[in-house]
Amino acid sequence: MEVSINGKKYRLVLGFEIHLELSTKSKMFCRCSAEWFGKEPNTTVCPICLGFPGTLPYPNKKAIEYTYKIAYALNCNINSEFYFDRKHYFYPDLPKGYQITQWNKPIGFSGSLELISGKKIKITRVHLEEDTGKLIHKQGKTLVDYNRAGVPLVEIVTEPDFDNLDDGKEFLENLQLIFRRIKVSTADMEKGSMRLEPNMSLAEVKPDGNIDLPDYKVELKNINSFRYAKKAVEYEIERQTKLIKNGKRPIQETRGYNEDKGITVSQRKKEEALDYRYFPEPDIPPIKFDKKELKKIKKTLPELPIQQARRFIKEYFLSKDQAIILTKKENFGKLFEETIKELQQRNKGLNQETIKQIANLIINSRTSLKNKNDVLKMLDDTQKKVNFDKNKISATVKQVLSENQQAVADYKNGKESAIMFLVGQSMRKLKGQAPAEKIKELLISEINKAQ
Amino acid sequence: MTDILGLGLLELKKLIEEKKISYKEVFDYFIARIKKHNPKLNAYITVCDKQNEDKLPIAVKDNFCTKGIRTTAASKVLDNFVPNYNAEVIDRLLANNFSILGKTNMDAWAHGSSTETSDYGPTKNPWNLDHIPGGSSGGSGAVVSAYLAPAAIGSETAGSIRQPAGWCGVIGFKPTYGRISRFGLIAMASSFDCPGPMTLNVQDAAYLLGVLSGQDKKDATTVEKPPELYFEKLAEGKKLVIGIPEEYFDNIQKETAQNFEKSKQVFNKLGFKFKKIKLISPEYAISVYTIIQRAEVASNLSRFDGIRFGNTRDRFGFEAKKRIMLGNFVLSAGYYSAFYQQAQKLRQEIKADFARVFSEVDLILAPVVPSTALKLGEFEKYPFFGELIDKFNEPAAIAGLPAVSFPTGFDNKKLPTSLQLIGNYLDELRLLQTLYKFQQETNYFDVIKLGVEKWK
Amino acid sequence: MADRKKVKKIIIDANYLAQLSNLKLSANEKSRLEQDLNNTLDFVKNIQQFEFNQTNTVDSLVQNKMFADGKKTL
Repeated sequence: MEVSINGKKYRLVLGFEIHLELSTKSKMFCRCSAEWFGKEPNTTVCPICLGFPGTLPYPNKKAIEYTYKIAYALNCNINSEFYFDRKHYFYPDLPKGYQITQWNKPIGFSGSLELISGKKIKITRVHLEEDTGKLIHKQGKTLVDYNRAGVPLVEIVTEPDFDNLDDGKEFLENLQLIFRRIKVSTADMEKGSMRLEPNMSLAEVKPDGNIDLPDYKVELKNINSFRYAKKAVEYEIERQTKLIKNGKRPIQETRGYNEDKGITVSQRKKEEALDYRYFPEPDIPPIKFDKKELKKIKKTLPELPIQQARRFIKEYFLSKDQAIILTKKENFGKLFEETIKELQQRNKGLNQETIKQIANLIINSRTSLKNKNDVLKMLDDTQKKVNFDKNKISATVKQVLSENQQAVADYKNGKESAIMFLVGQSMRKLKGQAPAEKIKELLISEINKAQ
Repeated sequence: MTDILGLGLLELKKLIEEKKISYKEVFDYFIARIKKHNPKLNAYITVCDKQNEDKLPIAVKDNFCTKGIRTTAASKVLDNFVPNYNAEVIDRLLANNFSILGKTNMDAWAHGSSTETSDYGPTKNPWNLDHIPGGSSGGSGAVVSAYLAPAAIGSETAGSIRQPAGWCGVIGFKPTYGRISRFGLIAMASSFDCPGPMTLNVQDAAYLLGVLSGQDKKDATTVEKPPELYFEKLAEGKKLVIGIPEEYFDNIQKETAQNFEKSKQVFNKLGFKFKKIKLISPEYAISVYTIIQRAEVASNLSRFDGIRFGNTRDRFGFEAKKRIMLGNFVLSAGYYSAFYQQAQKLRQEIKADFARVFSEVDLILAPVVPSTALKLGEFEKYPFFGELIDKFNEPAAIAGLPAVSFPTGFDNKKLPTSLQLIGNYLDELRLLQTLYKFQQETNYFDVIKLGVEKWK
Repeated sequence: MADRKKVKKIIIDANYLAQLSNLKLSANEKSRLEQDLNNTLDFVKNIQQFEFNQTNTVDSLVQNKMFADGKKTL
């Protein structure tokens, strides 16, 4: 995505920071329930997640396993031994005055995820931390709900490898699919279990077509859906374009998206960045996972959506759209392949046509198809219907021909419009229940037969 | 009623079991003594005088969270804080038939070696009311010395058990870091803090160590290896090789040095051998400790914002503010690697230094403090007095090693002198066994006995 | 192996530190603090002069050496 400003070309440089709430039973550092959404305020809390004096964190092993799973799914390099760091700042929703996170040694780093086009998006890091509480503004007062404080959160950071919004959307949707597929999170943007922070800038395109990363980036916060992410980035492109046009350089800052007004508003300038004073968390010794355990975790990874889609395109010659839809729902892909394999076993003629039919059946299924037998039955019915239709059309065509001898003669004499008349007649009789092409085909073949 | 003045925990337990005295009589006895003597000493912040349980009372430093009992860490920030949970140490005491007699005074937030930074007034040294008891567990040291409790629990970051034990003339035991759970102990410096017993004799210390030690699933830094039978095996033990870091004994008070010689002779008589050792200069330990401790302090005090509990940050005393700010300084961008990281590197050196020495000797004998108890107000001259006076205690704290301080006699002002034995990781048993032999031989030159009698 | 990290002149900004620490200081406290902090820093910077025997990486301070029985698996 490029814009032209004052005669120069500028390209969008876009990356994402994603926060994912894990669907563990307990919080990250205490045994409170992690299911905080919709609960009465301050009811899933304890002295530990409230940061009371003398309390200590004890890590949740499941959360760590989930994080490794995510790191493997994103093809990351793994730190089999890692530790936590403290990140300090004061805010009412941060009970201890610091967040236990990972700064120096994240669980996963230098990974990648491919788009369906094959373009590789680099993943900088995957790390584990704890969520904060929530501020609620009511009647001029600010209240704090700590139910969410301490819920395990995985942070995923991409390199700024995107240059257009469609790729961004595909990537994010794919991520969401993956998280749900590997069952580590509900990845629900409305419930806040998946949060987005795009970061972007405009880079001047050099004569050789490449770009240098600009010296600024704008981080966008408060985005609750993919749709708003798109809108926010689009607004930013416009805003930054205007600045550059007027000879000003956009500054490094954080901006919040206002969905009512459709604009972004400056929140905090990065030069005045808070000094988080990271240092290794002394209350939690380094954690080491042995290679066997990690192998086990890696093994539990199912085939991921993009992998599956690309395999379907390659092996079954499905279209890109068909492949994407089939891999969106976990059971669709499974059903598809099971059905194909069943037919292969039965040695029934499996041609491209049938494969496509099966794909479409599953994609369009309104009644839930529970297993391959359901699919095969529906396939059978459809084919029968096609056959039935074939017979019906055939009979109708023959009838129309016998009732319209003149038109037949006209067509034979070269009048093209006569065939269209015959098609019309047939369609009327069939009440439009057959494709015109098919009818035309049959008419012509019958006429030629009779010769 | 039998006169129980000066009887240790286990001696009282025995009398109760023999039905020579009742739990209530013991409890009432201590409450009466506290009412009589505490106004002079100011060793207690809270006294739990309404009790009716068949349990042995024990004093606990006011930085251990006690459910339903005010816990202040001697700071006005927590003046009104009543926890609804117990520290693990408290849970274990209660499960072993102890009750909380009261919460003892301390330096606010454990920031100090004098108990003068308490927001509830200083504690006086029972040996001389013009002198300080040491700190930060000054209250715990004083109540044991003056027999206002049969024993007390203190905490140590670097010297906060050993030093007040030394200046009050009682026994102070700091276990290996991670031996006893820190859950519910208001954190000062997370990678140093150790709860520990302060007692009138080594049997009580061994017994309490057994009660309190063990892995705790609420504290990820606790040690997995189960504790040994400290009390049961107290009278066993071989003769060991004791290392003496000679530079430590340069420039210390004359009487402290003289009493060291006297004690050395006792160990010799008991069959222990001595060996000269060389350790990294304590000057470096002071710096390493000051930097890392203050960084962790700054971090650990961030949670005190007055929102969920306690009062707001304007109630912090000047010492706390100083430590928080220096801590944030050494962690800040631009200084982190030169100070905090550098100090951590040097920390590894100190640990390696001890590892090397413990391949040559079994235990180390060292002074606890360069002099006997200072007068009230003397420390104001020094910007980081606490850390300076604890230079002999910081190395073992930095390395996480166990140590015990014990009385060795008096100086010419009748203030107690002391020494400490330092052991390798998880070597609490041999420390206790060695001290037991010393106790049987000398009874600490009657220091503890005379201390209790002073407060008849 | 000598590992000397020279620190340039240290500037204590009490205002900045107070802000970072979420503390309010009176004018008197500020000046006392600056003095005390400078004195403390003067002493502790002796760690810059230490001759290290071990080659320590940043990680080794956490790995293996910080706790009594080393690494732990949960």
